Amino acid sequence: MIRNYLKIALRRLIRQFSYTAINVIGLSAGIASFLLIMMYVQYHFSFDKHIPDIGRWHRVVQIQMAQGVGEQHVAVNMGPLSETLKEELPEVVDAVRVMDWGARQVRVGDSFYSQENVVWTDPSAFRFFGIKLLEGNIENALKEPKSVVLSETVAKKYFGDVEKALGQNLDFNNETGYVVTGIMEDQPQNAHLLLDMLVSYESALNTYPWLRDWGSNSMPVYIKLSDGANFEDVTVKLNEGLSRYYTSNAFSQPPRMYLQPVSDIHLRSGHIKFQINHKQGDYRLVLVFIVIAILIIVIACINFINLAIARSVKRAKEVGVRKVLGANRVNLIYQFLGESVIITFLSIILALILVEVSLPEFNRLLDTELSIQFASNLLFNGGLFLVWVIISIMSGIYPAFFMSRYQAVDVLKGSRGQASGVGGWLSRALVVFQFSVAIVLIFVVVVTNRQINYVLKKDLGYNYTQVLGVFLQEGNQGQKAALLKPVLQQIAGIQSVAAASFINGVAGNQSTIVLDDTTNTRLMVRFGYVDEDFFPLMEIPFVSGRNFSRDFPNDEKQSVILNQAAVNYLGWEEPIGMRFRPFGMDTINKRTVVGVISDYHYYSVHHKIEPAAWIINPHGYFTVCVRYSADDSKTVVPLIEEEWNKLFPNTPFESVNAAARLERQYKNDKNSMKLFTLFTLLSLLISALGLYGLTSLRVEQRTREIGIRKVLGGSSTQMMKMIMKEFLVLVAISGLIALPMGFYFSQQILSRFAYAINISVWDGVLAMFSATLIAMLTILFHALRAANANPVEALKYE
Amino acid sequence: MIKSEKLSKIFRTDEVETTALNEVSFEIQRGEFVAIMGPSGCGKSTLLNILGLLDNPSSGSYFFLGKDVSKSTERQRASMRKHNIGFVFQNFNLIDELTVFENVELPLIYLGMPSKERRVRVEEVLNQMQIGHRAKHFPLQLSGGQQQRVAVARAVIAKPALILADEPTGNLDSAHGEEVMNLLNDLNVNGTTIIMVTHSQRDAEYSQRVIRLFDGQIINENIKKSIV
Repeated sequence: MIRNYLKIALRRLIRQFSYTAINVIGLSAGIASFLLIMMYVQYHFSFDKHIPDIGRWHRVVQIQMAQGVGEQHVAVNMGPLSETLKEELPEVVDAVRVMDWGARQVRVGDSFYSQENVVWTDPSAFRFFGIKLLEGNIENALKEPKSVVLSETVAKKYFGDVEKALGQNLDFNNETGYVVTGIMEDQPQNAHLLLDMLVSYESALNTYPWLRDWGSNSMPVYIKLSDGANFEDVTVKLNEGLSRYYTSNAFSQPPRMYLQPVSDIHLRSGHIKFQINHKQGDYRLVLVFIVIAILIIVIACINFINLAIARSVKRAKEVGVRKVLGANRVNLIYQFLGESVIITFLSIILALILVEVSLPEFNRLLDTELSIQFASNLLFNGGLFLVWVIISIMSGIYPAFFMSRYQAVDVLKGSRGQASGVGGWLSRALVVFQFSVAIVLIFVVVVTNRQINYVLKKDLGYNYTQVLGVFLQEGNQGQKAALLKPVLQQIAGIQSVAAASFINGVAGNQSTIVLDDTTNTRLMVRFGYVDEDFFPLMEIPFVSGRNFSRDFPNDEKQSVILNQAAVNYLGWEEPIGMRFRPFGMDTINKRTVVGVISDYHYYSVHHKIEPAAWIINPHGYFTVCVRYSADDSKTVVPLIEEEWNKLFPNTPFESVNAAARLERQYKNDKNSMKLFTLFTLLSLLISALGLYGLTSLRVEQRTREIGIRKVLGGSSTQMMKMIMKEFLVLVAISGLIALPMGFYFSQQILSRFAYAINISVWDGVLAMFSATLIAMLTILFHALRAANANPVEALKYE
Repeated sequence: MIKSEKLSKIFRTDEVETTALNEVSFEIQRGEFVAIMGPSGCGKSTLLNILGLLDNPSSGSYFFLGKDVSKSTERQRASMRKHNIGFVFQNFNLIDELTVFENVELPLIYLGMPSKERRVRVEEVLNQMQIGHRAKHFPLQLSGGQQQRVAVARAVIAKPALILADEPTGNLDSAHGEEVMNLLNDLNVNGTTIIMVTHSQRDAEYSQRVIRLFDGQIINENIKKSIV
């Protein structure tokens, strides 16, 4: 009997090709979107999963009250913290520090390499990350100062093969005598910390003795709790201990600490300011994508249900005949489910093809390496099977129960078969649902697109186009800058040259300044080290006072420049001439404010502009900034490199383009936006496809009615209007439901930005307009055909 | 075989109450060929639906094979139907997606007969109806007369005791109509009870008895032939 069902189902599907095609295309587009989104979601949830015992590992996070900035969460801590916790808290069974050393210049013999992902860390890192050594001894590989552990790839790059690498020497810029003590397996890319090279923490202590103090926050600290340790107890003890050791007066209140589960780091760290978090995700975004994935599948199923209901008119006769011949409801339910099982199966096959075809572009967009894996990925075996079963049931169950309820006698008498009653009501409700979803999505897409464009085009307060940053590389940066600047100035096409801590003008750190007259007033500022040429080069205007100047030789020792945000916080009417002591630098000398610049976005527009202070400090220069003319954009970089190589033959040339760097900061936003837009369009398309099929069936049902109306004098235009109206009313109802929701969700999204646009009436109008337009275009074809048909034909039809 | 006592059927819509059958009583013996005649709207089809266990009467009782089925559930009726009754319709009611063979086979599938036995039986009946050569065609590829022969084949395939025919020649020209009537007559000669609703006096000639209905009531029963 099952063979009979399948045979008939298949034959019917082939015979009613356009119906099958609409179903399969809609459903496969839905399933493909679902799979792609779920792969992406899966990718986000895969982060850090390689860490053994991840449930017991936590990152220590500080809450600081910083004047001028407000409350801030930071995931950097003091050097002695991890050891102290291990000694004093019995619940802490293991701890590890991982301090970022950023990108390094590595010298092996006569070769130079630019090495990323270099960290200083404790031997316990091997336990934390579950690192296995291919060469070397895990017990003492990171024990001694100047020990280095390389990843397999790095070892091969430097020394040709893994065995040769062990025991070799390498240098970091001017720090010599490091020894390779171990080779580790290559570490996963889906991790919040990327590790290509581990350097023993002891080496850092030699270079930076202040790491032994409690005075600065420089590194993430991870601790492992004992099995069954009380989370809250540990937090309380943590804060008690902190109050004993913490001596700094940088903050208005001593910082508090809490533990963040390591498994939360990737997706739930949006509120944390100083942290290492490679490819940081946002669980809200992931959640939005999951919701969209489910909505798209539901929309596709709705098409299926709606088309089946509309088609039930035609099939009523078959149901009646089968019942007369002895079929019971169960037989019929099996039969209808059989059809949806086949359609779903075909759709899954097509969906897999779609996924395979679109994956390269998808991966490029998201910077991922996702692929279809039937054997190892649960999504593609159990998951797909579940999708098959659920969609088959979801889309088959209603038609199956709905139609199998027909009484044979009613059907044969011909009294059944109008899409009225429950079926008609339901399919209208489902269309309303589909279009509501579409309108909400369009609304949100319109608003977020405007927001992203606003952010991208927002005046950042400085001119970053045609600006290049040349990295000075660690070691005698001040002298390097002094040598390089005059040489670069000579190159044709270069308009000006300046030295700064970084191309955005600020160093990464924060510090507190203590004000001269009222010692209780402190201000947490970002520090920047710049020379006299930086602000003019970046075209940053002064609000009051003056720039640093060579005419004032004391500027280097005595002057400071603030931004408007700092002055606003301090409430100074006349900031010029005010004196204060920058904390942690030259604590003896007071500095005088000589100028105030207007606020500019040294970080991305996601963040508010915080108070900042600039001083001249050649030791802090890591970048030479170059402004070049538009015509010379292509030629200028090779010329600079040539000069660099003449001056510093043993140091590799590295540069960054300011505009490209900014572009990268918004890459995530833009790509999420692209994805979001793509899936919105898809959901709209799937809805339209369903509407197309539904209109075609509805028009067919109304052929006789239209024929009679035309015989009685109705014009084609009137018929058109009648058919269009039936569906446009549904779109209008959808609008009533969807617009307030769209408004609400858009507002939620905008609240994430420090600088946001206002939602306008036109966003809603645009959303409604596009949904209506799509609906009208979809209906038009069938409406035209029905309205212009010969009424005689229409009446003969019955 | 069939006995009805004061069978009534009333259809209600929101405001209107229509009496389709009004206390109809009659008996039909095994092996009879009965024609039900009457003008449009007299209640012929309603009566046939009740006799065919497609519908329940509003009141009165209906004994089928000695059992009162007037209050049976749909499930019970479906079961009696598939074992005992074959239907022939005016508009054939063949399933377009199924071949001739599969259409005829359908009642046997619902009876749960094994595939091999079904094949033998279907081929036998198709040959008997002289449409064996059309077994692999679809209904729309056949003439009206051929389609009705397929429908008759389908009606007799399960060897029902009773065949109900609702205007079996209504959509056929006279030559094809006659073929179908001859088929029904042959079945009756071989012992199958036949009840046929018809407008056609010519078709009614084949029956042994005519029940005339008017406004839901029997106005005349005339026996034309004696039961052999």
